[in-house]
Amino acid sequence: MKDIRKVYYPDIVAIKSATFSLLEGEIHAIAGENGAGKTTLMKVLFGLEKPDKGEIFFKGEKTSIHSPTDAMRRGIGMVHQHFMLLDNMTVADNIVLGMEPKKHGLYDYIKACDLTEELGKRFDMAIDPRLKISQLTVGMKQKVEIMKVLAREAKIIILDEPTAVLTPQETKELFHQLKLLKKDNFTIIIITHKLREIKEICDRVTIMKSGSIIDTFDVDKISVEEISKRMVGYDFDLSNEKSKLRPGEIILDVNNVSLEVDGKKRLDNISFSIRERQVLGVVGVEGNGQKELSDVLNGEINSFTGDIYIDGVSLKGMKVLDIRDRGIAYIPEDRMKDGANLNGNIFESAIALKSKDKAYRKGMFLKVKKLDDFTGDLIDDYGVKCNSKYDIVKSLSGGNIQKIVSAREIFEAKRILIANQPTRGIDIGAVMTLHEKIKKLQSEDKGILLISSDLKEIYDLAESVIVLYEGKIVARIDDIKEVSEEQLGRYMLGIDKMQEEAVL
Amino acid sequence: MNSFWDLFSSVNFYVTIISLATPLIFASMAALISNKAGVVNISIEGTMLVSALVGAIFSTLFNSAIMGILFACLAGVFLGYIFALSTIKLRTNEILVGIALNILAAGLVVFIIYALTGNKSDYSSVPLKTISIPLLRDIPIIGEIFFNSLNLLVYLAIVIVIVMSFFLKKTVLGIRIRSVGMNAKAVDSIGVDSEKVKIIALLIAGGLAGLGGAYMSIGFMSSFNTGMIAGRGFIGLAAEAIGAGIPYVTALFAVVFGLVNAFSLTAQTITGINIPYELLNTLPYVVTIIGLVVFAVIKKRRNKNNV
Amino acid sequence: MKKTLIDFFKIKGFSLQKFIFESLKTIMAILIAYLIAIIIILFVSDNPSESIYWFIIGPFSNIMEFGELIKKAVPLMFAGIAACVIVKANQFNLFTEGAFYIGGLAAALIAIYIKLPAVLAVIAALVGGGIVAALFGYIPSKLKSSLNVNEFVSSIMLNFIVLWIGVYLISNVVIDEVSGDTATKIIPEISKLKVLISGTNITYGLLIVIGIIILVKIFFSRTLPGYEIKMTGDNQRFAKFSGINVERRVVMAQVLGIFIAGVGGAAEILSNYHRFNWKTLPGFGFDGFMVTIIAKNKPLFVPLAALFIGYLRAGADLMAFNSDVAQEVVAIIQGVIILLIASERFFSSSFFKRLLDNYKERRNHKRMDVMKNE
Repeated sequence: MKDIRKVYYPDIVAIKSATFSLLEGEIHAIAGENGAGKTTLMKVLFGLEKPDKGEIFFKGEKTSIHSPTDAMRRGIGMVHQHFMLLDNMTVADNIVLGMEPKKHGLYDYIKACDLTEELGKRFDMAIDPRLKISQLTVGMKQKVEIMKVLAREAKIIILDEPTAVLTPQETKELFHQLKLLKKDNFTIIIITHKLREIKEICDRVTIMKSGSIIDTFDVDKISVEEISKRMVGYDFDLSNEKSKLRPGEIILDVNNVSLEVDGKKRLDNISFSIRERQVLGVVGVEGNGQKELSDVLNGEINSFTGDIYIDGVSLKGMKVLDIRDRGIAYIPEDRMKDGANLNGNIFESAIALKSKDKAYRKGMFLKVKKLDDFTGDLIDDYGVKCNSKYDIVKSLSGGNIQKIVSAREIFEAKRILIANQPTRGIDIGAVMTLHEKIKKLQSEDKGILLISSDLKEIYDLAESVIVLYEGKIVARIDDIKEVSEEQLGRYMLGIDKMQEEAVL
Repeated sequence: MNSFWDLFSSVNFYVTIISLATPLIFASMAALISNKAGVVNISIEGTMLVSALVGAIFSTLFNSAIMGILFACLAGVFLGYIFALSTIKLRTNEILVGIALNILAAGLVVFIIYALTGNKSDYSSVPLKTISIPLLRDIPIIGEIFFNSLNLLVYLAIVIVIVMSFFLKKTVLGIRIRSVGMNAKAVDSIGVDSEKVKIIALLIAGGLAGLGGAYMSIGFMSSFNTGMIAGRGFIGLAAEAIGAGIPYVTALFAVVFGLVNAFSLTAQTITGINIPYELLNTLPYVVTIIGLVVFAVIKKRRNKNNV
Repeated sequence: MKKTLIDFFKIKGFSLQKFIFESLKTIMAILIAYLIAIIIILFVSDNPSESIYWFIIGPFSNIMEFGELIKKAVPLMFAGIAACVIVKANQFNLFTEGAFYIGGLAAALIAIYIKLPAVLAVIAALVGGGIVAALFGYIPSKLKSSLNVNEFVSSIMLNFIVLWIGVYLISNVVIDEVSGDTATKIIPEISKLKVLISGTNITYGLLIVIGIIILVKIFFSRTLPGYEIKMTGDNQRFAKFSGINVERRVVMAQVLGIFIAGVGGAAEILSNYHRFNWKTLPGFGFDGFMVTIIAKNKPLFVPLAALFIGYLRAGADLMAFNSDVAQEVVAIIQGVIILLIASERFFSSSFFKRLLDNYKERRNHKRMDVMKNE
């Protein structure tokens, strides 16, 4: 693949320019943080996305891949991160979908089962073809996805974050499988951020960061630390003056919270607290429990064990509105779907919380002028670039939308602000504005939970940090400045784990 | 004047039940296959209306009930195609397309009748003859009901329920239709065009709705009138929802509806019941709402238990 | 002057480009629909040019006809604003149809059997019609919000139920034995809506509906419940996230809309009928949804959309009266218009982009073929 570029409307550059090559018979890792562009690049290879620029060469010949069918014809198969399976149908049904065997014009289910069993024998992946997908474990579901690809005679297999949902045992099985395939001269691409695994089975690794390819390395010639450094690190400048605020009383207290979803523990015995004037950072590679933590804190998920207290009052079982009334504001991770009304105008998204405030309305009538001024202040204060307060939100850039969402929440945060990936994918100017506002909030005796996979941001804003890995807190850090970047990376990637003695 | 027993023991009553269930079976099967493909097909009512008229017209044109049925079915397929194009290719909200097609149908039928006859509400047809099967018709009671009083479309409806069940499970197309309804993305990802599959499903649905319309003007009555569908297309949707996608259960509700409808038509003759016929006419609709509510409550309880 | 006008609109979030684009889309849809209708008329009519004249020019030919146009538009405005409120919450409760019916009946009965002084009598009949309708309309809305029962089907069932109840009442219970007609007694003059503009049949109903439309506009742009309904309709996840009680708002929007439809039915009966004698559903319910679609769901555009449909109907009536084409041809136009206007892809930016892409691809293939041959 040469010089590939992909821009999503209106201004999200998923891939700036990517060039890399794949050797036959190797297991090649594409590593990088979330948003680095790895999945997009592979989607281009598999024909699910069309690149805006660039070329693909197959065995020296220039080709273009317009659709998954094209890709499959060339022997490329993809196992997606979110399974594309039909839950109510059997393993055999799913595997032969699109190439169903027929007998007298009717679907030959028996032949489908036979095919599945043959496949299973050939590649040592036996699964009872008559089981329904809904009855399978996640590991088995993934096997089915791989068998789907093999059934179509793929020679190049792309796996997107295959171990994200697997238990360690299942991961071992998967790797065994992949090694067997490699022996059979299959070429495998693994999209991942799990370093240990890269080291374990890959031959070469290509590292991507922020839409560009950093470089390709032979795995046995590079250390884990060096990969992690290129993947997550950056050259940060510690001369940044951090506020010398001393934390005060505990506002939010999280006590032994655990959450199990679909048999897997998404949160495992989480305990921490947030104090006044404290910014607590939560770091970790995305997918290690951050989403579940914020869902539990804002009232979206109520089925957790353990308890959460704000100013001494238990939050368990409370509705979203009540939790907000208690003083918790929340910048959501999915700002487009949860944070704003894309089809409406800025005014409407900005006043979502203030509209309930008695000071801004007379009975059921909104004090429109006052809310208007509020919106105007918000726009000016945060430097939202727009033509008017009534611009349709959809037409703004991602950064500006996030400014509106964050501004609204920060204004409303009376005790705690939970910021989940607040500056992901937005421009430097917007980032600096938001950081400034968060620091101001901190100085106003509020507490802030900052969930972020951007280490620079964590270093800039937070002092105390907890590291999440597979739903557990694997490290509690009092002062992030005292931990080296390498060490932090090792915590994040599950290589190291702090002993449980320090309590925040 | 009869008593309850007289009513329930009369052969005619059961024949009426089956006759009234038949259009519902067609409508609900149309709704079923649309739903399997993941589409809420609001246009069944309008399709049935137009097809009923087309059937009546062509049956008199060719002086053959069968020809009428054939053209009605084709009209249904055509309208199904328009629905498919609008919702899938033009991406119009399904409900709005349904409203548009129903308005269109209501006006279109009056327009056509007027253009052809100068009156504005009725059009006669060549009705379907009752089929009488020798030997089987001599079986006591059952024979009289099932083999001496029904017409071709009724038998066709029953066959369609069986075929539908078989089609969805055992044919490649049926499986693909179900797959598209379950997870269209999964289907696209292995190279099968989910849009094309949906369109085929809607064409089949249109044809079934067409047969339902044909039954009303050719099989059940011997003429078309503009109010004859009376919501059956929508009740078909409700039947499909209650039947939870299982053809036999859906057909069962159709029979229940037939029962209630038959009862509301004949209850007036029962001594002791003095309910006026207008209020009796509300029964089928009330039962449908109750059915939907009961089904929703059951679904809610089941979801609560699963979490 | 021109610059400040543009600035003024810019402040209100008005985009000239977008407005022109959207209007073009509506106009294109209407033109295509008319084209289809004209083709049909050419087919069907023995004297197509006369038919088309009456259809298109007819309603403007004199004051009386123009008055007919407006008179036809009034119930459409009621139905349209009712549907607008419901669609703002992204619901599709079609009981507006039954609401019109039962609202009219209730108003007639109140007027006949409850003696009140002048203005009070009219108000009681109108509001009473709305309340009765709303009571019925509450059922499908609550079923939707609590049990997630599809409000479309349940509301249509309710339409039939309410119709039969009404027919029963006017055939048996409140029938005017003297006249022998299947209808109520004569509605007392004191309760009727008087003519507004002499020389026409336009009554005070017009003022009432315009008043309601203005109230609805204020409701949505200046009140908290109106705002919350809008947010619920636009993005339920966002609404929930902001703490809005989505279930309550969903019910509220539907009940309000049904109430308005009930008042509309009442106004229609009190304006134009001596007795209540409807034996079938009047058809305004579905029409209302069509009006609000053409009005892009904006309250202030509803009268315009209603006037357009009124014009359409008046023209069809004149054509039917003066030539040999049935007035139902409008149904065809209406159906096509809805299909095209409500389509996301018709005449949208992606529509043109795809046309462009298709063209580019075809050119590329030709080029590749040429290259292959070389």
